[in-house]
Amino acid sequence: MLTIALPKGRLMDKALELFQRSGLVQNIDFAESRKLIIEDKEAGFRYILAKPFDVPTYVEYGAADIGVVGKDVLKENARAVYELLDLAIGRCRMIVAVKEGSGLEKVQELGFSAKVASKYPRVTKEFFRSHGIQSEIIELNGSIELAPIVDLADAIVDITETGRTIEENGLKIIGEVFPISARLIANQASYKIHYPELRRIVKSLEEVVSC
Amino acid sequence: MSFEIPEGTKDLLPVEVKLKNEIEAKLHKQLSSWGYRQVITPSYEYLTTLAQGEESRLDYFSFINESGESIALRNDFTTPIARLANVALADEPRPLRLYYLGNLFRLQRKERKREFWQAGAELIGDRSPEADAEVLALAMSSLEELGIPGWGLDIGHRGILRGILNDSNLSIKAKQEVENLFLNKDFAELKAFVKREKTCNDLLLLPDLRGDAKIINQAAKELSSPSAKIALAEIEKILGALAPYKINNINIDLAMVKDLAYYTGMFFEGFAPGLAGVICTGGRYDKLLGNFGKDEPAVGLAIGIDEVVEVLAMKTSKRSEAIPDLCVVYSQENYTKAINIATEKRLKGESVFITSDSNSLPLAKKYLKLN
Repeated sequence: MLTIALPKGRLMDKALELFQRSGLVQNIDFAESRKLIIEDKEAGFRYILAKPFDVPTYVEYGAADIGVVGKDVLKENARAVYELLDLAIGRCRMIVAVKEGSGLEKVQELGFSAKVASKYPRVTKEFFRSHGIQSEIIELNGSIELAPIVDLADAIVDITETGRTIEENGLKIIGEVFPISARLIANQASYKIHYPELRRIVKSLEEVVSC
Repeated sequence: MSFEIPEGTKDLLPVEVKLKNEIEAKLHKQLSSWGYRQVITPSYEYLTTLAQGEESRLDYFSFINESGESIALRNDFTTPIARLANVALADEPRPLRLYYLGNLFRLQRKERKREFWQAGAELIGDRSPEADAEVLALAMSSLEELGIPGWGLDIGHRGILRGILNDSNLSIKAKQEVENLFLNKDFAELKAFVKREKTCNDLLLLPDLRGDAKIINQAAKELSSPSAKIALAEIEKILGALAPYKINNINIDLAMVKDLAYYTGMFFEGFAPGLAGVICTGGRYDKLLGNFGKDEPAVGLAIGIDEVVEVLAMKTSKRSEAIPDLCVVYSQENYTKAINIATEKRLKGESVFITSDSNSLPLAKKYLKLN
């Protein structure tokens, strides 16, 4: 039996739709949302429903053989897992934003040092370091847009789909860190042990992924 | 004041030492039974020596000695043994079969042990496919002897991906990027890369080229790179030389890449269910010895002792520590007699300790419970 870790939330619905279209999932009801483990005996799959940030951890340690997770989480966690396929769902961007009217147009203009609020401290640190800016990271867990408004930070690094929430909160985007989409990841040993089955899953998903 | 141990280190308690010793005893027996002789190199060397083998992983504990020279704890055994083979053992007849067992140190292993243990063998001065086959067979029979459940082994070749890249028109930077993508098996990004660079369709075929010996023929048909085909022919010869050993759990993985820069030909990785990393690894390195003088071909293997301990500890739920056979309890007037009895028993091969009657009760209880 193969164990698959799925991220609870919006991305899971999109992933399941993809799994259904590829024929990997048929008559399984994921609507009973309180369950954390769902078995599909017919297909030989067991699904673990985890917090998105925990999916790479389950996969790295082999508690799950494969998983679905956003590139943002993968980059932030930096876990030793294999990335088998870009599922082209959950598309958004990791961006840098500042207060509207701050006069800043480019990331470089943040100067030699900057206070940056983010839920992604590792990604943020790396991005600013690569631009030669020493950043002081203020780690927040949500409503990141608030930080520049109340003068907690000069800038934020966060994900956005359309940029609307950013604008509505009086912020503007001045740089892109990287584009994001969901990935199919695999445990390193599982990839070898279950190779034929995993390649078959990759092939079936590849056929329905819209690139 | 707290007395913790530093990040990346571990104390081994009697139960763990017993298991580790049993594993090491099996490895000593196994490696020497194939005609390999043990060498022990220093725990620290000149940084310049270790750096001869390492281009991509500058990962040392280093310090300056009293003469101002840079010294580093060994982070690899193959490089010091290459030095040894070219200096102290330069006049020994070839091929040279050497093995080692000891601890290594790497500073940047995050969330993993920075001091770790390895055993391995090096076959120096033999370029033949039979030499590659011997090292592969030795690696696999060692996993078998150690009793690793469900182990498997993948064989790859540096010349496959290197060949495809050299036959392409990609820049050096782009080639490096592709090697990194294969190292992390980041096939999502690989697909995007090939699409972006409009190059090298061979690269997209590699992820599906893993399987038994039949994969060689399939690869020969599908891949267009002439250099990769030379590597394929080499793998085929090695598999031919491996056949008489009658070992089955082998896969050919043409997408395999290793992060050690010194490999030049065939390389391999052994794995076990439930283990995140590899349990053994190795390959051919025909250019490393040249850094220490004479150019000589060589091929070797390394087995991760910590990984073997991890796998075997998972298998056996109840672990026992080494318990003495006998406890001689004495009262003060019988002290000499107790020592005489203990000595006599020890000569017969039993493990014995003595204790005065006032100390004996808790000790005896501890061992009775364990027994």
